[in-house]
Amino acid sequence: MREEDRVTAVVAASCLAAMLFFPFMSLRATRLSPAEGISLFAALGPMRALLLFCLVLLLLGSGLGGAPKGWGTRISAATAVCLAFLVLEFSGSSAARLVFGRDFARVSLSSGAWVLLVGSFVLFRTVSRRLPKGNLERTFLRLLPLLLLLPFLAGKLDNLSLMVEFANRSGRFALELRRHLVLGLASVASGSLLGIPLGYASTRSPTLKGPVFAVAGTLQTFPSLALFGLLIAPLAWLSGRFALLKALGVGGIGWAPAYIALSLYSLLPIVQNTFAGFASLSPDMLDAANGMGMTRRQRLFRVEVPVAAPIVLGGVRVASVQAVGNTAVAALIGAGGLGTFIFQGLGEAAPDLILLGALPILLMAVLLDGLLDVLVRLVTPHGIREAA
Amino acid sequence: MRSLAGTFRAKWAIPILLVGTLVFLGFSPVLLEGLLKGLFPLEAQWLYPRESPAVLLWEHLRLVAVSSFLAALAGSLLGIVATRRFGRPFLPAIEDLLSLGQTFPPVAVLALAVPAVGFGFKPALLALFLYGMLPVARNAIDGLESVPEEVKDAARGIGMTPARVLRKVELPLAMPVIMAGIRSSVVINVGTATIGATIGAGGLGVPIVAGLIGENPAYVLEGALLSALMAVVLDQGMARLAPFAHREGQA
Repeated sequence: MREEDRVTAVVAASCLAAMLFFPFMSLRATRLSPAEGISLFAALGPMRALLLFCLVLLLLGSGLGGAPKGWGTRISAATAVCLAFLVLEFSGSSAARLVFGRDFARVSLSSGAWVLLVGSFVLFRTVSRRLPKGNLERTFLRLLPLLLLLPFLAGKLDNLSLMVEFANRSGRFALELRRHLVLGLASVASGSLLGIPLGYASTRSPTLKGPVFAVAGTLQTFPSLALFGLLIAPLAWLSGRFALLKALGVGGIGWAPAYIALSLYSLLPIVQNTFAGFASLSPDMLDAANGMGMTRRQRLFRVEVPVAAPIVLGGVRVASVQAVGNTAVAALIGAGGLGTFIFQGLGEAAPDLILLGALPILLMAVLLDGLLDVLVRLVTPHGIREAA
Repeated sequence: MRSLAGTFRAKWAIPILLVGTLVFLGFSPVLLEGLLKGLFPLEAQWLYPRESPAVLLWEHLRLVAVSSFLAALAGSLLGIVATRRFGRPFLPAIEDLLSLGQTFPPVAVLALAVPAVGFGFKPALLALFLYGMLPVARNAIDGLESVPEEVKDAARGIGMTPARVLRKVELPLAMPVIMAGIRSSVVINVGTATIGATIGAGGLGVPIVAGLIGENPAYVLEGALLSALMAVVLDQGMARLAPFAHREGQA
């Protein structure tokens, strides 16, 4: 007898509960008035609500029936993507209906819809993990969630409050997005430029290792807002003293303290991983390289760097995800970025504006994480890959 | 062999010095004001006037302590559940959600708690609890998973019940890793709590934000100095407490 698939069953059951008991969408008479919850049936109408119910029941059934094999897996994965797709599509058209003729009304996704979206993400990941690794079909299935971009690109979601906030600020959004990305990536780049040599040098000299790790570790414990704050006074003083710095835009507030603080933050993961990477080289490996008659330079670039590179890049990956998140705080010291929308949204008590700042940051972090993960795999030498 | 007192001095000298500085600056406003006055002679006021540093320090500490305590409890519990037999099928899904949660910027968690529960102490507590739980759960899973199967097998072999294996074998062995998770959770919470000032949660972020808005660098430095010091003190303190979680016979 096949054991039931508990994860699918539990997640599908929670989706079902969310559909029955949580508000699916929320409606505000104006942007700032209190929200009123709308149930799934009221929001979508009986036919569409029933369709979503059927999909969730299908998933629940497949979970209770046992871990799907073969075609069952593919159908379950496709059903999960379909569910998320329909949640977006339906809520988009329902939003259009709800705000029709009411110029100031705002419609947002509510807890029920969010539970369904997160639930389908978990289901999709759980089910698609069961397909054999490395085959073309798995890659294809992995790309299936890209379909979710369709309702967004086709403008179906334009009546949701989040998209209205976006439309009202599309120019500003592009600017802040670029600022955020540039600030985050530039600081990780300078963190790497400083951290990789320091980490490498630490493997050579134990006397250096202690202070380097202590300083990087202490900097990492500082609250981000405090680190920004600590840099304001000295930078203001410097820019007052040197006209050149002032001309470059360096000042107590703005990009300069944010850039320096974020670079310092990315030091620890990069130094740590660089150290771990070069410390992981076994003496035998180095001995073999020497025995083959490699010069020190050849040994460094043909043995040490390739072996350490994936671990070093792992540190860059951690630092990047962290930097993208911390850059949000930089908006408080006038450095701009997507945090601007978060703090503006807080000031105006407009949750959708907060989301307009937060969701792209989340997306950026996830994409960077995935991208660097792929890069780590690409640079891992074949010999190591097979051993692992 | 070094004397006991010598070891004690070497290990605790720096933290005691740090705690001393923190207490001194936090509880003698005159000293802190003098320092800030020396740095920014042109300002009219040097200390955030509406609340004394000691009160801000206390508010901050209270927020971090309550949220980290709850996060440590819930995170460890989640880790335990995910590594039991009935919870094991959920392990990959839980790990997915944990890593997705950690890519979410802490500021956003804080900001989104406001529409859920309103302004003030409560949303900050909720956000800090949720976000602080992630590293604890992550480490609890890693720690419990790293207990060798043979060790658990031996424990079962001498007749221990599953609950006893967990309490007497798995948890003690995983404790250093779990403690490391709690430590990073505390440090993250100290940092996020400073931003809590923007949602009315009080604490050391208050003078920073007030100083940024009112363009008074002395207020900013007041909050930044104290919160940075507090983060280092808690981090170092917990690092030095961690060995007490070790048991005899453990490397």
